Amino acid sequence: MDAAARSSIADPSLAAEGEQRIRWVARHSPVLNRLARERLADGALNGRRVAVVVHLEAKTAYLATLFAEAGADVVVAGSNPGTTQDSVCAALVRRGIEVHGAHGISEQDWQDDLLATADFEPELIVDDGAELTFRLLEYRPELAERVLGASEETTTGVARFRALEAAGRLPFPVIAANDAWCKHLIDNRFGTAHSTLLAILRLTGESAAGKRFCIIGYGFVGRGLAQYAEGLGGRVTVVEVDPVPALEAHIDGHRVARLEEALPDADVVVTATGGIGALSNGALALLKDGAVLANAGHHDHEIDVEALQRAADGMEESRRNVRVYRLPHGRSVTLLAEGRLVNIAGADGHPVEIMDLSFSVQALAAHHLASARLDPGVHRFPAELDRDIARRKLAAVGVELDEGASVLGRIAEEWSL
Amino acid sequence: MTVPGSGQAVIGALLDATNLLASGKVLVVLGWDREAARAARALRARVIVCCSDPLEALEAHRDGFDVLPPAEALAHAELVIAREVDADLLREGAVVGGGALLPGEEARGGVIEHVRPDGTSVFVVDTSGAAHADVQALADVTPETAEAMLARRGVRYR
Repeated sequence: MDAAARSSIADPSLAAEGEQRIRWVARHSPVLNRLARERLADGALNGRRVAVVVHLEAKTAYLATLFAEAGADVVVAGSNPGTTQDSVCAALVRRGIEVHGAHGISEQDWQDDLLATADFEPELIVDDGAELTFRLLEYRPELAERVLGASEETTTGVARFRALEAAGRLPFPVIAANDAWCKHLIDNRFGTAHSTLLAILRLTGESAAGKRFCIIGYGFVGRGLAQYAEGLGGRVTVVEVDPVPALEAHIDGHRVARLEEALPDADVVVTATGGIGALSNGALALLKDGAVLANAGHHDHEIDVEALQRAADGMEESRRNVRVYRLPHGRSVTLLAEGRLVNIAGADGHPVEIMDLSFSVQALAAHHLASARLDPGVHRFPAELDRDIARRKLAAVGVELDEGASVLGRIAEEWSL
Repeated sequence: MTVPGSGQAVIGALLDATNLLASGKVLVVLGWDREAARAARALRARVIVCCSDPLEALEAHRDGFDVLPPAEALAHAELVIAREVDADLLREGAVVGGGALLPGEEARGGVIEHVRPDGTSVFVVDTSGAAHADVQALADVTPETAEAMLARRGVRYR
């Protein structure tokens, strides 16, 4: 049976548009094009069964294509039905890759897609939020022994994998791709923030100038959001429960406040905690009339959308991904992208150049898992590979560095004598 | 008044259509558009401004932007904001927004690929429809409407 027959997608006739999008990604992915392609060409992935479960749009499709080019048998599924692009699915199938995903499908259909992906019997998993691995271990435990390893894209997923490891339930090695320098220092901070803010401006049709932004969570995503929002003329208040990042936000020059102080004057509230329930029922009552809510974290549940629906007298979808909820006492609040990741569900996701780096981490992580035979448990992405990626990116943009060991390297050497 | 934030729509439209990153890129603003330059800088682009008027060039310089003649600036530009542009001056792969148009075929939704006689490509995004409602509302602001807006925002100024 060929890929098309095994796949479940929405509309194969959209392939031409998806193909354009993938080619655009290829044009702007110098690190994947050179470094990743070179490393994958050594045959380590030849004949390996690889599952890619990441937001199913053009950048992810390009990563899947590179695995296939390296000789792997590849299956792709979306990590969130709200972010799957049907044109890209169609183009992947035309490229001969098995795909399970369609935009806007129900939780149950999405679950079925992920189980079909598990039934592909992957040996390597590129996971996002541990969504595939969790289901494989839960519903297809007998398939776990075939898995050489997984690599994980997000903060949320790494936390889930560490919890599994602590519980003694992680049967194979996992590389915390998220924790690579070329991933979280760049993707989380700049990529998420850049694309999240632009998506908010586009969906609301307003500039950031003079707006009061409430950023909930001051991790790498929150830091980037605060920095970009401030640059665009916004005034930022940070809400954070951990004293260390809260102090960092304060010294960064942001107002730091408790949620109940921060919400009443916020024009735009962005959740970036990576957890769930950051904006819960009680908090929704504090919002001012006209407030805009958006989520930048992995879960659809950072904003308690159900509580919002219950509290509302009515809802109007003023345009796609923009829902205005009428609340008692004449207030209304606007929810973007139904509380899903606003930059991916409401736009095209992270910038291409950012995903060139993140997916180079993923490609080299998968290659490392296939060649190095690591022990079960959560592993760091090798620092030398991280440096290789940064070096290639800098070379691609024409930046040269001085040669030689760093000062800290020399100190470490002297002190270890 | 030059409406603060008025450059964000065009910069946003260029980046939305292309899915490209501004941070770290050389972005050239052809003709002094302070708000577009500021929006690009806020997104961490390395902004170069080109303007023919010495007062504008001085203003851009004093605002912390690099200022260069167009031919030199465009040789480095990865992103360009311009009302009109000479395709021959662009670096290969450059993406232009801001009103300038060049003939070509769609490379992806909203992005036109213009192939030059030497076979290299540059890209154009039609950002002419890009506008933010709050910026438009300030277009003909008077002291009276300004008072009302400030009051609505809870801003006291005296």
